[in-house]
Amino acid sequence: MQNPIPTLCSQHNATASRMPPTLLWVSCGSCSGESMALLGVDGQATDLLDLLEHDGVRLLWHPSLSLDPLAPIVRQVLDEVLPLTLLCVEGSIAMGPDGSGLFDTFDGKPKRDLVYELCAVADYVLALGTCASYGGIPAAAPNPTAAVGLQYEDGQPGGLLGAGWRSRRGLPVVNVAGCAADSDTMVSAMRWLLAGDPDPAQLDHFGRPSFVRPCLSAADRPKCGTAHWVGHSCYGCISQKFPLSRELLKWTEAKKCASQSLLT
Amino acid sequence: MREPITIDLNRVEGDVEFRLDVEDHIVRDSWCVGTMYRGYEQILLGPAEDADIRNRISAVCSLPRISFESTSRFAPVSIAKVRLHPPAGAR
Repeated sequence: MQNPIPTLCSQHNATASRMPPTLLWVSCGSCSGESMALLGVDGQATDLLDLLEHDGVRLLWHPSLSLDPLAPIVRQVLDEVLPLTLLCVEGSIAMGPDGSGLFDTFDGKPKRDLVYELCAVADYVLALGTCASYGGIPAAAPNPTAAVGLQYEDGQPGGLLGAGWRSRRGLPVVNVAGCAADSDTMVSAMRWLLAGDPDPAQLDHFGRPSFVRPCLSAADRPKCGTAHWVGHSCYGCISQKFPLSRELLKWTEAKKCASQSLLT
Repeated sequence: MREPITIDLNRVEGDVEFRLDVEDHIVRDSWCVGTMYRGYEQILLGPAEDADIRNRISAVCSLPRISFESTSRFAPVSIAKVRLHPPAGAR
C-alpha cells in the first residue's frame, strides 16, 4: 500500500517505538504572511528545514508546500489514523455571515468547523500571527466576516474555542502573535512544545509564550498605531516596520523589481 | 451522464476551487469559486484606510503594492487617473 503521508518530510528520526511528531498547517482568513515568513521570503528558510530535518517533524500538509489535496489527510487525522502533534492555524476564523461560517469554506463546509474538529484531536494548537490569535485585521471595524481568533475575540477571551478550551496535552492555544510572526519565533514555539511537557504558566495573559517579542516599536514611535486605526485593541504585535523595511519582502528586492519595469 | 467535479487548489495564492460540469467527457459548464472572503473592501471604507492595512491584503503579492505606494508618495498619481486619462496619442 502506498504511504498515505506526503513525502515532503524527513523520516530518518522515526523509529518503531516512537512516532515522529507531525505538523498540519491550516490557512483560514489570512494574507499568508506566516506562510511566506516560514518559507523564507526573508531568508530564514533554514528554520523550517531544520524543523523537518533535525527535529524529525513530519509535515502532513502545508498549503504552499503540499501537492496532495488536503481532504484525505484531514480525514485520516480526524479518524485518528494519523496522529496530530502540532496544529498550526494561520488567519482569522470567519464566523459570518449570520453565524454560518460560510465566508471561508473548505469542501463546501465552513472552515471554522474543520478547524474546531482538528483542534480536538491535536496535541498542541498554535495560532500563528495576530489574525489566528486575536482576529487581527479582518476583525477590524466593521468586522465584515465576524472574524475571531482561536481563543480570543474582540480583545477578550472567547473566540472559536472558548476561554476554557485545552488541547489534548492540557495547553490552551499558543498564540504566536505578530504581523507577520517571524519564522524564528514560530519555530521556537514549535520546538518549545515538541521538547515535551511545556508549562502553561509560561504563557502570558494573552496566551503568548515569553519569547514572542511584544512589539517592534521604534524609539520615536513606541506603538505603530495600526491597531488604533483599525479599531481594535493593541496586543503589541503589529509592526510599523512591516513590510517596508522588514522582512517579508526586503526593501532591496522591491527596489530591484521596481527598476525592472514593474511600474513603468 | 452529468458529473460534477470539484477541484480544490492548493495555492499560489488563491483560496480557489474549480467546479466542472462534465457530460460524456465534455465540460458543459465551469465555475471558478473564491472560497474565502475577508471583507477588506469594507474595512478600507472605514477609518482604516492606511498603507499598513492595504499591505496586509496579501503577503504573497505585496511587492507591487509596496513598490507602487512607495513611489506614489513622491509622484502623486493614482492608478485610476492613469487609466482614465492616458497621454494624448497613447492608443
